[in-house]
Formats: sequence, structure tokens, C-alpha cells
Amino acid sequence: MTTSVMPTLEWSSPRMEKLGRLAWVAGTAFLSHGVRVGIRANDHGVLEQVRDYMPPFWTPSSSSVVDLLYSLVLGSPGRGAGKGANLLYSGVERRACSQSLRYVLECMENSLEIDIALRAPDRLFVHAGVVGWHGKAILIPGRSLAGKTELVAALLRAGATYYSDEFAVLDASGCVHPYPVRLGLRARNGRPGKRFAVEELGGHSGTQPLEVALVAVLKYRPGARWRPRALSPGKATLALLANTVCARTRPRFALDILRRVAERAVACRGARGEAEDVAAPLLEQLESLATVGDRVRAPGPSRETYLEGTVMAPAGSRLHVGGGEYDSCGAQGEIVR
Amino acid sequence: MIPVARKEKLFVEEVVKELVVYDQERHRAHRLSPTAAWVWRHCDGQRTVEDMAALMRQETKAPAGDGLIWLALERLDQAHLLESFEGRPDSVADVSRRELIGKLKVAGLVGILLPVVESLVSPTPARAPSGKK
Repeated sequence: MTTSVMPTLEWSSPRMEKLGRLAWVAGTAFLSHGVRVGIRANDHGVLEQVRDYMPPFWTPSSSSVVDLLYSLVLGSPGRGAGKGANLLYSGVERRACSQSLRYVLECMENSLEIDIALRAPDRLFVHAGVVGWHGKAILIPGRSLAGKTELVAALLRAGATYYSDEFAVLDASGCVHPYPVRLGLRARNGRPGKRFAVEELGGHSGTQPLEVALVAVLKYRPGARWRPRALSPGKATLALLANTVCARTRPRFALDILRRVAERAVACRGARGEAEDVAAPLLEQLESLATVGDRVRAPGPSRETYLEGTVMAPAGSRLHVGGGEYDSCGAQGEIVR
Repeated sequence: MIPVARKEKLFVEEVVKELVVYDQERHRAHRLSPTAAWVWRHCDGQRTVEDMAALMRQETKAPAGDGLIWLALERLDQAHLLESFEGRPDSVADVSRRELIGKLKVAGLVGILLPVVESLVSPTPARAPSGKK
């Protein structure tokens, strides 16, 4: 990693100037999803460790002017309880203070993810697990503790390609791009466990953007029977928006992309039991969706125009979504459970 | 009673036959079912509830009555999507959602015509560590 760039922000303030007067001895600047990020530290050695906590696909930047500036103050000298504590600032906002450098770096990683997700000019970040299968993607929206990591890991064991365990990174056309962070499987007591590279789980990461074919809004419930319900495109849009990082700050941008995803994908919602029991059926159903073909529009202003909670598919076709079976109503083009 | 749809500080996205409306003032997103979307779009300050019911019957061949339009308006008003709505006058029979569902069930149209406005509070960006790391 280059340490030759001492990053600065385009703007300043009295507080920023005060922070800038500290003895910064090392710095780096990089680009991630179109956002210029800088990290500076009062210690040369720490920047080598920072690399492990940077977002996927960062590229070095030679420009010292950045959009986001993180400042790491190691073992701040002083008296009292704060003595020896490591501090992390984003701009002038303190994000972490701890004796544990690892904790501070983990906080930096999380802050970086969210800050980049909020600012990425042409990418939309949705909290979700994503896997690819035969050229199409399954998107599993959900925040932490929704059980998506276990399901993603099970899908990888079943042969799917890894795209992300954290964010679905969507472009303007609604295609999902890889964001291969390490998977953090929880211990049995629910506490954070070891993090694994996808290769350690016997999987591999995708490299190309994929069209989203299935949006599965799932909630883990021990012993739950797998009976997903179809979601209308509008419901799917709302479910995705509920997990979108910049939903408040850039709603128009977010809705435009989410609509594209929801109109093309089939969506379902339901409780799931163990991840291993759901993984194989989900992949099978995604495959059968690909054979059914693209979603079709409602034929006209007849009954289906007012259909609530259904998905559309070619008349006469049969549709399988994650173990749930849906039959077409023939000429109407409706799909009912 | 001539209802008027709110337009200010709203982003509207048409998703197939539904609408997703984002309220920038309250940071809420609403999904309007096709019937609710139709009613909201026709709240132009020109049409009465009776006019809307007649137009819906004409346009969609659906057996839409005033009760359906009133219920849609009430749902839209609860979501703050109407500029002016004085509520159902006393002279108009109060058809509850349950009654309307019963009637639509008989006609086999409950899932098709029932006006639904589903809302969610827009999430704030989570800054806290996810816990898995």
C-alpha cells in the first residue's frame, strides 16, 4: 500500500483544522465505487494493518484530495482513563475509542462501508446476501442477525457463486455486482465468530454483474416449513427499500433502480428453517425460473390489472419459487398459489 | 367532497400496476395497490367520489362502488397522501374494511380490488458495527 499521499478534504472547519494539527506521519488515498477515500495515521506501521479492513475492489489514488477522510490516532498520550486509547475519526466525528486496535479497525471497516454506500455516485447498496447461479442472481435482503450469512454459506456449499454477504451493489440497470467481503459465521451462542474467505468454504467469487432473477425475503424461524408467498413487484420494491443504505438521502435514485430489479425479478417472502434445507430448493427454483423465461406484463386492463400479491408469468406456464409451486391461470397470465 | 392528491415532496415510482410513493417530509415509503393507486391518481380536485366510482366501473368493468373509493381515500389520508380530505360525511354509510372484504369475497375479487396502502419508515444508515465482524 502506498503511504506517500497525505489526504485532505476539500472543505475545512475550525475543528478539522485542530485535528489536522496532530502529527500525521502516514497516509493513503484510494478509490472505492467512485468515492475518494483517505486514511491518515500518527503511526507508520498501522497502515499495513488497515489494508485488511478496506472495502473490496479499492484502487490506489494519487490525488490527495478526498471525499472521506479517516484519521487514526494510535495510543493517544495523556492522563486518566483515555491514556493509551486508539481513536478513529471520520471527518471531525469520532467513530471509535478503544484500547483495542482491532476493535477500532473493525469500526473503521463498518464506517467505511456505510459512508461509501451513502456516497457512491452510480451504485446502490442494499443490505443483502447475493449469490449467482447459472448466470442469474438470488438476492436475499436483510440486515445483521436476519440469518442471511448462514443461507449464503449453504448456497455456496450447494455450488452457487459468491457475490456478497453484506451488500447487493446494484448499477443503474438493476444488475448486481460482486462485493466479496469475508463471511462472518456466528458461533452457536449468536456471537460473532471467525470470518472466512469464500475459498475457505470451498466456494468461489463471481466477477461479472448479473441480472437479479429472484428476490427472497426470508426470516429464520427454527422448524419453519418452507412455504414462501409470492410478492408483487411493488411489495418487492418496498422490501428492498427497507434495506437500502441511502433510502433517506437519495430516495429517487434508489427507487428508480429498485423498480428495475423488482419488475424483472420474481420475489417471494416467508419463514425458513435450517439454511441447508432451503439452499438446494432455492437454486432449483432459480433454474426453473430461467426456463420459464422473463416475467411478462399483465396483458391488459382486466382482472389481473388489480391483482394483489401475485407474480406474472407467461400464460400456461408453471412457476416454482423456492419450493412453493405456482400455477398459471392460462389466458389471464395470472399466477396463483 | 372533492379529494385532492398531495404532490409536494413526494417521489412517485410506478412499479407495474402499483405505485411506490416516497414521502420526503416524513421519510416514509408507501406501496399503493393498483386500486389505491388508481384512486390517488384520480384525486385531481375535479372529481367527486361518485364520479370516481362511475369512472372506475367504466374503465375497468370492475364492480366498484362508492364504499370502495371511500375506503381507498381513508387509507390514502392515513398515509398523508391527500391534500384535502374531509372524511366520509355522516350521510354516507360507513362501510368497514371487513364488510367490504366480505362483499368482495362473494364476488371473488377480494385480492383484486381491495385498496391497500402499505407503509414503512425509511431506514437510517446503520453506523453501528454489524456484530458479525
